[in-house]
Amino acid sequence: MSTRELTFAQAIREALDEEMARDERIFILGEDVGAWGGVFRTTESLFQKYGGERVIDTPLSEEGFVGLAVGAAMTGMHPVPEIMFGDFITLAMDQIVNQAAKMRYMTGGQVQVPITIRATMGGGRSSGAQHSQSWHAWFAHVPGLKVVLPSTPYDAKGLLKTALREPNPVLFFEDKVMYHKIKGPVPEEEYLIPFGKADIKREGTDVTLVALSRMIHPTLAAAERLAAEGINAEVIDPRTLTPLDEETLIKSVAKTGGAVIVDEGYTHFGATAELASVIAYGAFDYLDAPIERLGAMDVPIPFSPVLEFATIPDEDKIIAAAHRIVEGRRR
Amino acid sequence: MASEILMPRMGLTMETGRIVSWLKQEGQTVKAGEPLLEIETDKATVEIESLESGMLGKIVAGFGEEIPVGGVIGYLLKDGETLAKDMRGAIPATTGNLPVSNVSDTSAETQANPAFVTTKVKASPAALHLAQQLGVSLAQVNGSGPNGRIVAWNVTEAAQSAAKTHQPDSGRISPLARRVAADLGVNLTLVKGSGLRGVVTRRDVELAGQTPGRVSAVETAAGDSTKIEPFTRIQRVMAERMMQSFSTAPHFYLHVEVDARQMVALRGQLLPRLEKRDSVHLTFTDLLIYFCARTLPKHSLVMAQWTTEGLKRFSRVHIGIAVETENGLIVPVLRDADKLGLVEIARQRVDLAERARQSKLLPNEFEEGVFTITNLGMYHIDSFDAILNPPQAAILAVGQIKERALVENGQLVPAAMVNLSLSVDHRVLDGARGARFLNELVEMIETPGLSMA
Repeated sequence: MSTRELTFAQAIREALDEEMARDERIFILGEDVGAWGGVFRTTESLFQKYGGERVIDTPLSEEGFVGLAVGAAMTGMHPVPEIMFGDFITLAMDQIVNQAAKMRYMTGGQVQVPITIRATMGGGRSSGAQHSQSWHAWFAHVPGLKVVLPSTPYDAKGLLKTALREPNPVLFFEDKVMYHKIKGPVPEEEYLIPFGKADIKREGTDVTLVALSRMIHPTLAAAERLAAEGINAEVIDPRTLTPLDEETLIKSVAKTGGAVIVDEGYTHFGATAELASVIAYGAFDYLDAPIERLGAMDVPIPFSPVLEFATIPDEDKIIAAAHRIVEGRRR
Repeated sequence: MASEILMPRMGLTMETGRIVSWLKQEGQTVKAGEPLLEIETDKATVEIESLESGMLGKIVAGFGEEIPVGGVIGYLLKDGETLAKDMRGAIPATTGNLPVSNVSDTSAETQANPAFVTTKVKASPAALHLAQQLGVSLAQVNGSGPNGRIVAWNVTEAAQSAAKTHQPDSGRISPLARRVAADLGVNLTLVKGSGLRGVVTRRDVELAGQTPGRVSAVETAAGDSTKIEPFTRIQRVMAERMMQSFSTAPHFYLHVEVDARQMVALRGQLLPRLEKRDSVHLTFTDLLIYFCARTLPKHSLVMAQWTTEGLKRFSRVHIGIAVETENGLIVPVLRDADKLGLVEIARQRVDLAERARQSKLLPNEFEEGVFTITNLGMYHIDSFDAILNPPQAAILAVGQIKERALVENGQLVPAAMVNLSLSVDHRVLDGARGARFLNELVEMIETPGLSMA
């Protein structure tokens, strides 16, 4: 097996390319995804390769083009709408929540909605309060939707290819900070990553660090620093919120006795709350400390870089939380 | 079932109490309301009365043991009751410097009949689960987690150490700690153990070695001995509170020289009469308490306190009086002093001071003061500035009353004078407000009749 290094954006683009070549039902639509190749370069050269019928530039009209995609999916296509800034997915909420998520159920299974909605998430770019939010938890709340949060180029490609073969609506969240900053090995050969299977990014025995999307990276760095102190952290990436690999989380915490959950979405009622609840229920008798949740601070995300970083979990905050978990244990 | 005798809470801040003595022995009967034992808190020695009648069935916390509030210290049996087999020892917060009473070794019973979880013990779910699996009684386990929570490791350690031979007393100091203590000259009886079940560790000894008062008498080469005595509780509390006050409350001082002639004359008139009529000995301090109590309500900010949440204000005039005792400074409180006449003030002051010297004050008798008076006149001190008695915002320091030269109507006349110094917490009130209070007080001292007006 040969492996090269790809950026996160390149891995996404490659998954789209391979699947479009494999399945002609797949088409992309969104703002500037066509001739321009996407503001984050994730659809680069696909317009040139597959033409304007399969890579469609739309107006600024999230509700319109997502609605169009839902309808196309119901007729047997596999549309891939892209929400350039995930913040504006709010405009398409009804199409996603009330239409895409419901059709299969309401038609007694006669109609499927194979649609892969790609949306960005994440702050850290000084993009301001309306271009920095992470709304994945909202969709994980809705039955009928699958929510995917890749953290590495390898996972991004494997999970996106799975999404593009999935007969149900998928919300595929890509942290925009990772597109060009995160590079990683991606095999030349074809591979798929199944949904609902968490990845243990680092094995450990003392504390479980669960992180979503980009948060995996500061979490892995924190784990390295903790190791230098003799605290052996296990790092788990659930990779998909729906379906959720509860077993891996519970087994890990049963082993380590404590969990820190890290996410860039808001803390209140966020993904961290649901994950904490799954762990508290499943690993109750093994918990040796209260579960720690680290999410975005519950404020609009500031434009000022200093303030913005203060609201987002980082390596130091993760280490402090891990310390609270292991406080009082033999070291 | 026998009833538990619990360590009582004798004040808002009390967390542990030390057993001074049991006034009854095991097997003796006791009536409700009869003194049962004496405990020492960080403020005083207090006699505890039995809440119920019965027989003292078992003492589980003996002389010198420090027990958290709510911890079991003994069992009381009523008619026909017997001790259950699983009645176990207390939960010692720390091991005292005195031998533990002979009933503390109950491990054999506990092992045979483990009492699992009690609501008073805070433990993680993992620790609870393990304790049940391993048959460890959590009541015996010291928690090392945040806020003393018992974590899983504490339980496994406890299970392991219980499996080893049980040596309750010699096991409380690690061999390494003993050696280090010998090297550093640390008196081990004064070291609090932070290890599992209060075991004294090397770190404890090293820390104690840095703390004055924990080191034994050290012979110097020349043969003189420098003796360092351990602090009494009152000394330690005084040191901590004064340090806290002086370093956190921004102090300022208002000085005033007061014409005390009328106050001296008033006392001269009242002293023999009150001695005869009420058998009380009236002092200048009593008069000053009286004047302060009648001035304070009009200056309620002087009685306010700075807190992180905001200004805490009080309406009741509880005045503290600094009293010197053998063990150190104590400030008992005269409650509602503005409602008391001079005779009652003198009576209560004598009673409080007397009991303060005997360490017999009840904890609530030095709580809730809003203002303090400290008088060093009897030591011929002309004037001094006092450190605020936290969390109060003002303290009045009184010097000696002495004949001094007074300029009156352009003439130099000898007059009994007294220097007052008011220390003020500037977070609570400023110079002008402090001065207005002091001026009114001075006016009352100089014209005592005003206090009746």
